[in-house]
Amino acid sequence: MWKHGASRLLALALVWFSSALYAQDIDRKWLALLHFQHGQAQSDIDDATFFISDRGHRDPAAELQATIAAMQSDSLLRCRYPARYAYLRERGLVDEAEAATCGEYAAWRAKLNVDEVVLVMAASYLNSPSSMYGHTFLRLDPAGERSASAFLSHALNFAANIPPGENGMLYAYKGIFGGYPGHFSLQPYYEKIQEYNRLENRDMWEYGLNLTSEEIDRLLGHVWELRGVNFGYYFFDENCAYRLLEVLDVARPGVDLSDRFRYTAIPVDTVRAVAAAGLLAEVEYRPSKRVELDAVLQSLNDEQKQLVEALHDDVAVLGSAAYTRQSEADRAAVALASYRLLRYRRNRDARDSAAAQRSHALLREVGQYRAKLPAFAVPTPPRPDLAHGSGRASVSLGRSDGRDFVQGEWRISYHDALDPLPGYLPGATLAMGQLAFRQYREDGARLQYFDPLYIRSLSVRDRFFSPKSWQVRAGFTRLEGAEGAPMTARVKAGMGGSWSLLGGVSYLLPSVQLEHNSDAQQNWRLAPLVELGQLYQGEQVSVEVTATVSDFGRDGRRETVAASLAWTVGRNQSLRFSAAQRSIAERDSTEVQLSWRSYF
Amino acid sequence: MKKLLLASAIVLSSSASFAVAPGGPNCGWGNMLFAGQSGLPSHLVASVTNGTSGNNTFGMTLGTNGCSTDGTLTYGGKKMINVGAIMDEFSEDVARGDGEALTAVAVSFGVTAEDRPVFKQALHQNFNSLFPHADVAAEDVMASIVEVMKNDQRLVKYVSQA
Repeated sequence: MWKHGASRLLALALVWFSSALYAQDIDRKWLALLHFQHGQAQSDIDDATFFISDRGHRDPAAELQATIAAMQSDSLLRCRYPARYAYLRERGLVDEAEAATCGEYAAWRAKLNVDEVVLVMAASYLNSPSSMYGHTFLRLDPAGERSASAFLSHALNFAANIPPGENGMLYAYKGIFGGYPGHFSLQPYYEKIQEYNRLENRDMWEYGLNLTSEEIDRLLGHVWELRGVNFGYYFFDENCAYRLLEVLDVARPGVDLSDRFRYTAIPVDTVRAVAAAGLLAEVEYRPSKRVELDAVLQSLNDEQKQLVEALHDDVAVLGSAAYTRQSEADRAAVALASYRLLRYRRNRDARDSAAAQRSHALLREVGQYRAKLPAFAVPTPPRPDLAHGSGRASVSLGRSDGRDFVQGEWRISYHDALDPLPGYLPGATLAMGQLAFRQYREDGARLQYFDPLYIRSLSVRDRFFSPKSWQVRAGFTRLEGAEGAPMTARVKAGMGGSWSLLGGVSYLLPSVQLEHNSDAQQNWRLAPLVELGQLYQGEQVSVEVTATVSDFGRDGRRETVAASLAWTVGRNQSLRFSAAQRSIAERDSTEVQLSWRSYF
Repeated sequence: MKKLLLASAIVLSSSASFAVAPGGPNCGWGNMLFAGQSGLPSHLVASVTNGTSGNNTFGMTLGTNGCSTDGTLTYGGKKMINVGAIMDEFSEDVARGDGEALTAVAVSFGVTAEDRPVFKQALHQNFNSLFPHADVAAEDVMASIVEVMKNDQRLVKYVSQA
């Protein structure tokens, strides 16, 4: 019994000793190949099939030892793990005598024939909060003649694998908190253009990477190793953007990009990290279909816009005097706008024969005036990676209800309508993890508000488009202006509209607010609420004025009129002044505040 | 599943023989003009996880949304882009006489950079024969492209070689 135990102990000690021998061989390159973050005890890859050693998930030295041993005896494994094999050869840890010929891998590489790698970011999508952070993937461009069109490139995408027919809520929950396996997949790049530019109307930013052919070799060799490997997918940290950084860490050893995103990986921040690591070459902008449509519409006068709408409904208008008296260039523009509008509106529908026939007639009309067709160049907007940082810290001085205060605020991410606009979507607010402490002269510091989530989407309605505007805000806040300023918990949600008026955007958001207030006569209450506002977003100065009315029944009405002015001092600095006049259950008060906001 | 297999022997005999639909008769949204994109996952599905529903594959297979292909589409040994999957983009490019989809088709046919403007111009001028009506299918468009190329002295060499 004892003897048996001792021999097991000895065997264990031997295993430990031999992997300890290998431990000194472990370097960052090897750890990157196994997806171990700096100083972390286990790999980010949970899938056991990725590792050769049973302990590989936790023990990179054991995995190194097992890999060396396995590759000596099993040449197929050299083809299964091309990047590992190349790494071991480079370090002289496997004999080079017999170079492996890997038919399937070689055919795959020959088919892709990658010459350049591009990091692509699909920007925010109008009105879709879950897309507001964007999405990143890699584009693999072929060499030679085939590089002439991006339609011949491939997209390498990391995404969650969703079972067909999954319930929507469950889907959102699991997508955010984990539960779906994620994996890498490859598809034609034009499918990505169709998905983002056309179906979702999102702009795409194409960041060329200056990878050498040796680095591309490592990248693709490693991607091949990840074929069929399941990863956990988490919205905030182990997401698409993070996985791409892990792959780039392998491609260019030493950049250690993934280490910087241990807790959250906002796609635009990962693009910034890639830029800071010196990986960027040329940057290209690919406008969405909606942006292209807007570019044509903007060139038209009111009469022509009416024609666009008329043509959209009935192509017989092509023969009308109102149309034929337009110049050829104008006819081309009207027909093109009408065609694009029709495609835009029908984008999500099943094929409709009548609409297809109208599209065809309009397209043929456009074709007739090719020589006269203006270019309708879409100006390149400010780059999102050059926009203000995703995090924000603020310090404020103010006076509320006749008492002076100082306030410190921190926001994890991302942007509100008065933050510097360049690089962000106009009218959009996405604030997650917003926390403020306030101290009055005579009191100690106390929590002022904590809002895990605040989204407001103001999409302008006009003749051609009628999107809804909406807001959701959830968290805790002091009812400033009420007796004792009690802490309340509340969820506010509303939906309405926005219009382009007075040089800015006017909005009306009928909403409801569910609030818990332990000082109130009725602790829980669902109150109707209406918000009316005017927002102006400029390069240097942004202004917003709002009026809010809500009815809390026995606990009284609340009316607030507030105005804020923000002045952009630099890309990552802004100054904000706000003033509010409040009436809470017929108790009037005012608040003014001046804050310095810094983005990082 | 069938591939868009355009053997060179058939090229010489009859252009009608080009009419092999990519992915076969059950091929999804890409096969007809203006089919929309109802085959793609909803934007909710796509945006939280940037996911796809199930059948996305890796390696040799390049997914084509409904058109099952277990390899590259070929034409006389050349890699051919799946015109059925980019019909909307392609038809707009033909109408305008230029664009990435049109360039991709030209490159797939092996048309060199110097002949590409000729190719684009020829297709543009033949918009009505390429897209005679809204219900035209990709296979007919392919056949018409070959017909147009055969009737052009600069382009005939790309469709007549054995």
